[in-house]
Amino acid sequence: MTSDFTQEIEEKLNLDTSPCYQCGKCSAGCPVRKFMDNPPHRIIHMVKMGLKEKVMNSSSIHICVTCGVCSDRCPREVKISELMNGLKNIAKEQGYDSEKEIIVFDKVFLEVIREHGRLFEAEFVPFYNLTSGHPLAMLDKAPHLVWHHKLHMLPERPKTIHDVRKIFEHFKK
Amino acid sequence: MKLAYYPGCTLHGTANEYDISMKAVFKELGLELIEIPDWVCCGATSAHTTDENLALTLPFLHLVETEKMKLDTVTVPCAACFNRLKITDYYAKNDKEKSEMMEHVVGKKYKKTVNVKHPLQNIIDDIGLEELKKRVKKKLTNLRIAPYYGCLLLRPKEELDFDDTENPSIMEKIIEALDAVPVDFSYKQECCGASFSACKEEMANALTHKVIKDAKDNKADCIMVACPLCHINLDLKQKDIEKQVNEQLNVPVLYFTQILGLALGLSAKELSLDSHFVDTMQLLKDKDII
Repeated sequence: MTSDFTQEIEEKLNLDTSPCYQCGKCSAGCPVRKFMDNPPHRIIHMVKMGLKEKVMNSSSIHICVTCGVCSDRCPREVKISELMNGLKNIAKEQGYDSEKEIIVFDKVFLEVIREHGRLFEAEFVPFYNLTSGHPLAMLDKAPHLVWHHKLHMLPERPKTIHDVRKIFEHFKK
Repeated sequence: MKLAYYPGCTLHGTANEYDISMKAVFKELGLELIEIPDWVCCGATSAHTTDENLALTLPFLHLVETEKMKLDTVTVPCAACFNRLKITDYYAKNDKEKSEMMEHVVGKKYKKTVNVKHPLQNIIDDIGLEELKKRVKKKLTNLRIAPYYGCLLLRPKEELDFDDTENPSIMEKIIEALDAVPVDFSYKQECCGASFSACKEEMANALTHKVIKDAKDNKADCIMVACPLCHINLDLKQKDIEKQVNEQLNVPVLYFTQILGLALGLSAKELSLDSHFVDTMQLLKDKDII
């Protein structure tokens, strides 16, 4: 019998985990497997078993770099990369935050885009550094970047910013 | 030939040498780039790791805008932006529900007439390898180049339809056309860690280290990239990685447009070759290229 969690995930993400026969090819090719608490093939099995709390609190779903090697190599054509990314989307939506720094990075990045329409690094990097507790990160690179006109002190202001705000508002981000 | 041009945020910032060399090379090749007016961020990579529909809708604006400019191709040099624009175009063309969702959210119609291309594809499709060989003014003979694709150009395979995902060869073909030597190495399609270098530094450094080390072990003089995120990790972070692994690397990392530009006779200044963290100039002098 399929659990409520399995059904929720498969419907939301429009994918099917049932063909997976646990060969482990996805985990063998995963470049960040050793940084994860659960390898990708185990995450699939946990989804199939309906272990919601274990999946949602796993670091793996945030650590996944969505490089797509797993989906590309899966002999059963399970969309593992899409599953991992979808789980990451759902975890953020439902407030699961096992990897706080990664979550803060994405949150601050999107706030800067909503505000300016384009990435404004002179605001984004210090804002992220302070929020994540690494105030001095990347600071040593600033003189080189300024010297070669790679770091601007003022944001670029595209006139289409209203389109960006409309999109963010629609998705409540 | 006119092409809509979507530079993306990094090419206007930390990767300005990619923007500069891209424009110089395309001008030299007679391909006119028309920048999409008031383009906005494509959302990569934070948008798709937060909300897949938000990530589809931001790039959608630029497909609509390219049509409005009456152009059939948008050229996207940043592999992360290329990935997102191409995926959005794929869903617009192949998924009715998602296509309607995007049109509804932005309130604009997309007639689905646009091709999203990476400039590597423009070189092959719009110039051709035989013609490129004829345009070479300065052969890069004996320069051993490791072609690094990373992941965003190649995967997901069906949506991007770029090259063989396990053994791509488009960069090698271009390198050979310039009379340089493509270096075969195992990490050419492995991930560098992309934006994780900011929030999961040790992990991204470990991934990038493998790429640089493998290129070096295979006697590459330099690494060629086609993505500003790869360039940040391989070049800007290289000294930090050296410290983390206690090993000297010192491998120059050049954008493919810079390598192409040198072969087309453009100067190091026109290609902004002096703006990297790892010096590129000494190698090019040693090889008698500049």
